[in-house]
Amino acid sequence: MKKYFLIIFILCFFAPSSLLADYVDDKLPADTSTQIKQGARQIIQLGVKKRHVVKVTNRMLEADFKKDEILSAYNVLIRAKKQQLPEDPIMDKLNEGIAKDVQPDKIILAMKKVRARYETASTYAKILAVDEDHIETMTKEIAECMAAGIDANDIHKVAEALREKAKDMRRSSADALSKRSVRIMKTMARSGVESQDALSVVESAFESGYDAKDMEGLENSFRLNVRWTSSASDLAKAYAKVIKDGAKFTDTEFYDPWTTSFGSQIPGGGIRPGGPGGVLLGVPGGGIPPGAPTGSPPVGGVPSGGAPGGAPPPPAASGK
Amino acid sequence: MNYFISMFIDNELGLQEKIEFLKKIREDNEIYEESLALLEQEQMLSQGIDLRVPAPHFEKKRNWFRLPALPTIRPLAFLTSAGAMAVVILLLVLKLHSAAPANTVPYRFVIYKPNVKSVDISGTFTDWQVLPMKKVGSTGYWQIELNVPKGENRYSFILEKDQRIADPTVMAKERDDFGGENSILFMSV
Repeated sequence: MKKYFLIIFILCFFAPSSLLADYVDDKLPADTSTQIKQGARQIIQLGVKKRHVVKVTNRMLEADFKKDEILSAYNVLIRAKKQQLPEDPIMDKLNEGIAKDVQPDKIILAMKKVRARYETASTYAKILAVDEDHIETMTKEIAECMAAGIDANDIHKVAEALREKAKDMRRSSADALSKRSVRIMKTMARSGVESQDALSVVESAFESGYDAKDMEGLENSFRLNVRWTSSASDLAKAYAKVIKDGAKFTDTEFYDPWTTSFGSQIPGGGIRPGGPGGVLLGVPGGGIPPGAPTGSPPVGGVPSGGAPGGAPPPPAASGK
Repeated sequence: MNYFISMFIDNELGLQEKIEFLKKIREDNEIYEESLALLEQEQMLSQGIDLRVPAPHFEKKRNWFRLPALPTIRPLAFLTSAGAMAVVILLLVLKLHSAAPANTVPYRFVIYKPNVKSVDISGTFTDWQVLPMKKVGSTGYWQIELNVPKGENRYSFILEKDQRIADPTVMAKERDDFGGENSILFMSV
């Protein structure tokens, strides 16, 4: 009987690791160094899918990563896993760097940046997400916010402000406001708004008592207007200014860069914002600022990064 | 305005925006002509690949090949039509297999780069594999159609294997941590 127990014990204890060893051995080239194989096994044991580990290892080998570079890349993943941070964005960055033919040391640096972003994001997500189920989503949102250009210090300021506001709010309302606040900062940053300007918009919204729904309206309004304006940061500054005066938004207010005000008509499309029949929506005493120029404002324009080198307009890229 | 024209072509404008767009076109002949040119360009690009199967050509009846016992069956004609049918079935099967998987949308990426020898695309939807784009005649445009998953997708174009640029037609961008930018395309299914 003892003999059977011993056999079962040996099988249970050693079989998985020997199977793992087989998988790594089978899927990596025969001449792969033992250290690399051990590193791959360690990552798999930490919970990363073995298929993914083998895939990125093979890509690194094909891209002529040296042994030390592969081990450095592994270390970034190991650290992330031990901190319970998601590994996918880090592996994604590794694949992206290889696709873009970036030097291995720069790829590893980029992987470290991603891990650090998620570490910071996770810290703030734990403060902001009232509901524990939302921490992961909030971590991702904040990390993407930072990837888009929002400074960690500005995230800190928003987190502090939200924590203060949450004290006087219902749990669900505070959670929703946190999500919307981070979302609008991400949207603005991705459109080219400087971190400081995005922060000003959100801080102004907090001062004016915006709730999650108001933030959503603001985001929709921003999305609409940023298509037309040549400077997303100027647009953000205009929002910050009118929000301080108490303005609230839906998706029907058009920004007029000429008068830096918002109206119900599209700029350059006939009736001018704030002009005859137009009002500066939601702003007490709104309208054309005194001394504002009267010419027709420039309309639209290719957004930042548009057709470099004076190229003709690109055709529409279309979903079907 | 170019961005708005693109949105109009892709039917991405809201009703109010469409109204304003039409008003603008009516007022400004230059924008009208630009929009028309882009629509024609779009039409040309969409007609770039002709997938029509040519109709099988049957030769005139040949009496010497007719079998007396089976007067209605002409072996050569039968073989030709059977072959054509097989081709059609094969094409249908291939089309079914190449149809977009669930939760993805076919999307055509286009970029204007007349003075480069190659343009590649790489993104989350290719698992960051590099795929070559096709040159559209001598127009200077490069294009590729890919199945893009729903949600957010990151990508950039790679010119002549070493210059990386974001998509100039997509507004949302983020830093790529390699000194460049990725475009962010949100796909709703």
